[in-house]
Amino acid sequence: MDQNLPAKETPTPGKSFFSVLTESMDRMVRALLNIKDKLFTRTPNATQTQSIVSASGISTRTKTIVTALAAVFFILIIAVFVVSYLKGRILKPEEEVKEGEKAVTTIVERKASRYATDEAVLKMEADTKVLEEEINKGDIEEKSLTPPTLNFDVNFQE
Amino acid sequence: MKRANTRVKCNGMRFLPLSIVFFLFFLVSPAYAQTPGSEEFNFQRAYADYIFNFDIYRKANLDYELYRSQYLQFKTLKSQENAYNATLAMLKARDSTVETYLTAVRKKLDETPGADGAKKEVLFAKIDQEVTWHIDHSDSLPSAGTLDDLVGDSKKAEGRFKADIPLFYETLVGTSGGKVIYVRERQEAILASLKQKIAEIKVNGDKDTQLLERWILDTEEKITRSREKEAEAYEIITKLGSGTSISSSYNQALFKLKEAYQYLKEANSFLAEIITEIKFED
Repeated sequence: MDQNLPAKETPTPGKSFFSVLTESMDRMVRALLNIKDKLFTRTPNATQTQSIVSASGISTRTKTIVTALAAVFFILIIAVFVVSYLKGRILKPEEEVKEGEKAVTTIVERKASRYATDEAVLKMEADTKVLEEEINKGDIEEKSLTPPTLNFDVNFQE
Repeated sequence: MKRANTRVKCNGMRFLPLSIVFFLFFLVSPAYAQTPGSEEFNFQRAYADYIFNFDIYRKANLDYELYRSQYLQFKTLKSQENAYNATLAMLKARDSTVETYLTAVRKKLDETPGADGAKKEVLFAKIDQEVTWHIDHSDSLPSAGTLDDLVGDSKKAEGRFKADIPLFYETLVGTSGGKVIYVRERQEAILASLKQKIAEIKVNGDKDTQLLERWILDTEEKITRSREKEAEAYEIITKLGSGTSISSSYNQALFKLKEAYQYLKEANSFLAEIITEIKFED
């Protein structure tokens, strides 16, 4: 009676966890063996084998599947890189803006003195700015006026 | 009554020539006043002249090299004549190049604000002397003579040019130094006003001026260091030797002036900071 029981029996609530695990593993192994048989079975006809299965024993179908999987994997890796790069680029300016806001707040915190609008102070500020521009613009070296290179080797002897 | 009228007429006639002279003077003077303005001889013009003459010289020198080699190869009368003419043209162009170069350098120094007046005058006197020499030398070159005559004339010009090299560099350092002096003088003017303002603030008691006074001292120190570097540059240039060391001495002097300029740059940013500090409360 026990021998006639089907191999794929559904686990009853009374069965232990280990027996259920063993059964499911057994099923998986059987399924994998089944797939292997389908993929790697050599046909008796030699000419047919050459056209469908290569010398290494891998069928064209398998090759296609593996290539497709590799392509998908490759695309995924590129996508991960692109996403991480874009994320970094988007985040950076946000940080800069935050720093700028901080700087502005520190300036705002200082209160202007009564000399902020003083005519003499404003004139000095303007003069300093003009001078700074002139300093940055000007080069003290007169590159265009270096002495000319002239030929003084005038003779008619060989 | 008639007599009186004729007397008035006579008096009026007496002023007629004078009024004509005045009329002509006012008519002519605006036109005359425009002439120097439109043809003003400034550095730009002098520099353009120099470049133009230098180009002519370069071409003349190429011709000289060509006809010289032809003469040395063939030794014919024709090749000798060609070599003579080419050499004469080259010597004249060379003199003009030196003359216009000296004029350009002189104009640059003249137009540089800040250049020391006394030093300028000394350099101008030397430059004018050299310009005159090169003009005279060019005029004295014989239109007909031997190749040996031209060789002798060339040697004279060579000696003069070599003796002029320190003058060239001295003038260039004077120009660069003038730029440094100009910036420093303007900074010192701002600094003087700033010190006055800080003294005023101190009297008013509006603000603690201790920090400002300390910063003023720091700025003054930068200006003093700039002066020191400038003095070192002039010391190098006054000790100019001869030969290849001249250009290296010039480069050293120029480096010192650049350092002096850098100190002034820093002093200027200090001034800007002090002014900003004054504008805000403690």
